[in-house]
Amino acid sequence: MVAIEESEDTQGRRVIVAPPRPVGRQRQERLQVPLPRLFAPGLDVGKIRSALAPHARTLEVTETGSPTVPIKHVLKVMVIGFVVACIFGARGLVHSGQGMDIGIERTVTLGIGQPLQAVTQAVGLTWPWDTAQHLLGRNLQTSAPLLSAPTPAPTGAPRPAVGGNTKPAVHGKTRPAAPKPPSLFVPTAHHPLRLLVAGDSLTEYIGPMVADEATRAGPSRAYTDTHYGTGIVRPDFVDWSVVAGQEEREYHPNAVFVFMGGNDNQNMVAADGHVIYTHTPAWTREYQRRVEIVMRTWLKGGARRVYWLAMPPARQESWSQTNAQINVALRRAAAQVPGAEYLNLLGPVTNHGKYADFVMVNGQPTLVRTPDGIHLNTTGSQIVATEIMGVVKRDWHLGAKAAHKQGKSTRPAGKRG
Amino acid sequence: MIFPTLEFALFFAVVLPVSWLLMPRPGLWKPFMIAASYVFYAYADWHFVFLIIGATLWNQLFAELLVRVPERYRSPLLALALAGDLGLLGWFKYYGFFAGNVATFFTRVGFPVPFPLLQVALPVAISFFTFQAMSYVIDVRRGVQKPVKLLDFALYLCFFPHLIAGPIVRVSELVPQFASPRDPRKIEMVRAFGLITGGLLKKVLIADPIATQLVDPVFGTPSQHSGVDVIAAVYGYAVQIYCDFSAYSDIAIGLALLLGFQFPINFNRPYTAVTLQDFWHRWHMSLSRWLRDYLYIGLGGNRKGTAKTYRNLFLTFLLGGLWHGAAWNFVFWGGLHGAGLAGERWWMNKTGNKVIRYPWLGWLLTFNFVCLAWVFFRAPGLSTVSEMAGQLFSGTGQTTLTTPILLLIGFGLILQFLPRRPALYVRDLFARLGPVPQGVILGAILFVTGVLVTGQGVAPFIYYRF
Repeated sequence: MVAIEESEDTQGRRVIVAPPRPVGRQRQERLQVPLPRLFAPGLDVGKIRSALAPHARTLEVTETGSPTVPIKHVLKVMVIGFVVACIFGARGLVHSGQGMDIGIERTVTLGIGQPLQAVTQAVGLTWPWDTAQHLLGRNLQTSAPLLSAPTPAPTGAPRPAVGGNTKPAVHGKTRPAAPKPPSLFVPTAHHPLRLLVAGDSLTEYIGPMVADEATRAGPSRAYTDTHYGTGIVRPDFVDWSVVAGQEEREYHPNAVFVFMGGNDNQNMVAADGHVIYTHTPAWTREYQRRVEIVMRTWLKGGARRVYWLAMPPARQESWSQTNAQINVALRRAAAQVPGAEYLNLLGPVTNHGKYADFVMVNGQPTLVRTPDGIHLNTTGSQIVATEIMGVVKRDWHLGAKAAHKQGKSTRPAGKRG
Repeated sequence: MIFPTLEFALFFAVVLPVSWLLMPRPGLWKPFMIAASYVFYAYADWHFVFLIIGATLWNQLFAELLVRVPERYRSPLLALALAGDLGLLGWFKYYGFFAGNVATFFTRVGFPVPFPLLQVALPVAISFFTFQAMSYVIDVRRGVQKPVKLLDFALYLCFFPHLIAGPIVRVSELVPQFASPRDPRKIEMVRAFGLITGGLLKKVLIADPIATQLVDPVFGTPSQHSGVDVIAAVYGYAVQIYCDFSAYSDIAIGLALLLGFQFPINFNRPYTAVTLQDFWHRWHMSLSRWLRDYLYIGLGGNRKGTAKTYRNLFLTFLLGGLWHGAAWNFVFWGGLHGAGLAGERWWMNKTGNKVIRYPWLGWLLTFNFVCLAWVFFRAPGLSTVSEMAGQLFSGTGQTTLTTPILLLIGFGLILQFLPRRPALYVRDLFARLGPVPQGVILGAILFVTGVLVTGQGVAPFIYYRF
């Protein structure tokens, strides 16, 4: 280690000069780093600098000229840095905490973040964060409509018995007439089908594939909106009723294909704060309630069909159980919402409904899952995308000839594993 | 656990001060750091901690045996140790790939066999810690490294700053640093913060936006995009992978510096390279060094004639490609680089280094070759590559390329050519500030990072899955 000092060079510039390197090294270079002129002439640079850095005269440096400081200095800088970041980024801290799984980390993060956010908001220190988010075109939710929203009133068809069978329960002797779902139309060049694929990371490949095939198949405009790490159980992190509203305003979809639930194998927190545990009927009911709200958000906004895809079985048994529970909730929710449809298109990527890494496609064993045992790989996604296109063709009569051609090239022949 | 997350910030905020408190007592410090590293690793899946413990015990056992048994038993022992390491890697990383391809082959030739087909969950970082463990036993066998204590080896293998995605460090580089307590009065804080914040900004400001707004959509559905988009995505991915992977390495090196340890650098402006060989001296340098020392030289290097040199170069990079992932596109990418290096060597031998007589031409050829090869690396399958090529020449489709993304690609490339002097100016200016302004600047950068990642969170690093 050597100490470097300040002096002036021949042109009067302030420089820091390191003495020659220690004995034993061949090179005798001098480190000369002119300090840039940051201030206008006439200002007392020395006073400003010493106010900012009272002990800035000497620096310990390594042999390569890299400055060093004691660990206490490092910790001091880190603490100040974290405090500054937390004060001005309290909203982000709370948002990150809300995205964590329920546990000690989340409790600690929110325990620090929420009071901090309340204080900084009160004194107006959240404006840098809000301004930055606004400039980036983001409108982060600050409330949780899914949690606070009341349970949706039945729209004609009565709600099923809680935890019971999937058919709507009938009260009394007369069955009320179910409202008709919005009518469909045949897309034309002047009135193309506006199709949206939305969801969590499960749509990463499927979304672009469906968009790709749909736009080639006929008059359509297809969009995909993937929100990684999100789901239905954590509206405090990302509320899908808010996202659905934003998507509705941005894309004006006629048909929405939804595929999510890969992050939903966790407990939920109800509006009153109590925890709803997975693998319980209450969890299924709450999941169904939230899904109905999201479905209605799209449909109220103008979508004519919301197709919600079933969750595929997962390699881990506990995940598979949750996914089966999600599928029950989805099926029940779709039965309650006119215009919503529950789609189980996953047969070709499973072994007779059970989890399988490989399935037979055109007589060949084909890998369809990613190593995590949850997601579909590109091949599996392509198979499901082709199935989705089958639904699009069925309901929207989209370019039957072109679609048929596409389907032929991608649809597996002997697809059951 | 990945670095730019709140979880890691909390973890590091505890580990850093405790590490320095315990540093004067190695008997406490080493077990603490091993435990902390296992916690870091267990965050992804705790089951795999047993795997890393198993790899530690296995390699340490053979390292000890290698110096105790007579010479004639040493090579078979080394082969057994490496078979264990490669078996572990093969089972977890390559079984699905191998089984699928073998089963397909037999089905195609008319002899379908009931091959047990299953996809094994890939433990994070298995490629990295396996290579490090292998280098240890090979060095012991070669006599260039003595067996170290079990605690030292365990810590070397799991030391969390390099555990997930390198740099690939050698025992001789790290274990001597464990032996002597680091000096708490001499922390390279400015360099460390420069690397960490620079890495964070490269990741969230350049790599992630290019990925989400250009590269992922184009590589996902090439036929939806215009030829201009495809070209932009090819160069965009070159910038993305550099800013992503070098960011991880920079953060890892910076964290190690704060803990008092030095790692070798992993990137040195790779896109300024004027030959392919030069590129591999600048890109993922710790892997290049590993491949050279333990694979290329092991195959005979350039000691067995010209033809075998070309073969060894090709094979080294073919296997290097396969190391990155169990898929044909990685094999093809590695093969391309191997063939390119062999071709370059042949041309240089023939013309007497004419390639670098015109450095600008060398740079142009090298850069474009590397960018084109990245297409194979990134594409989800070989069919995507042909689809992209088709779209390049006949491409119609919507343009997703925006001016900010174009500027980011340009900025990412220009970064490579910037002189070092301004960075040294900033470094020394920052170093001369007191802790309060330094902390405020650090806080401001963390704030900017937080603003950029909020909403989607930070995307996992590309090399996280290798």
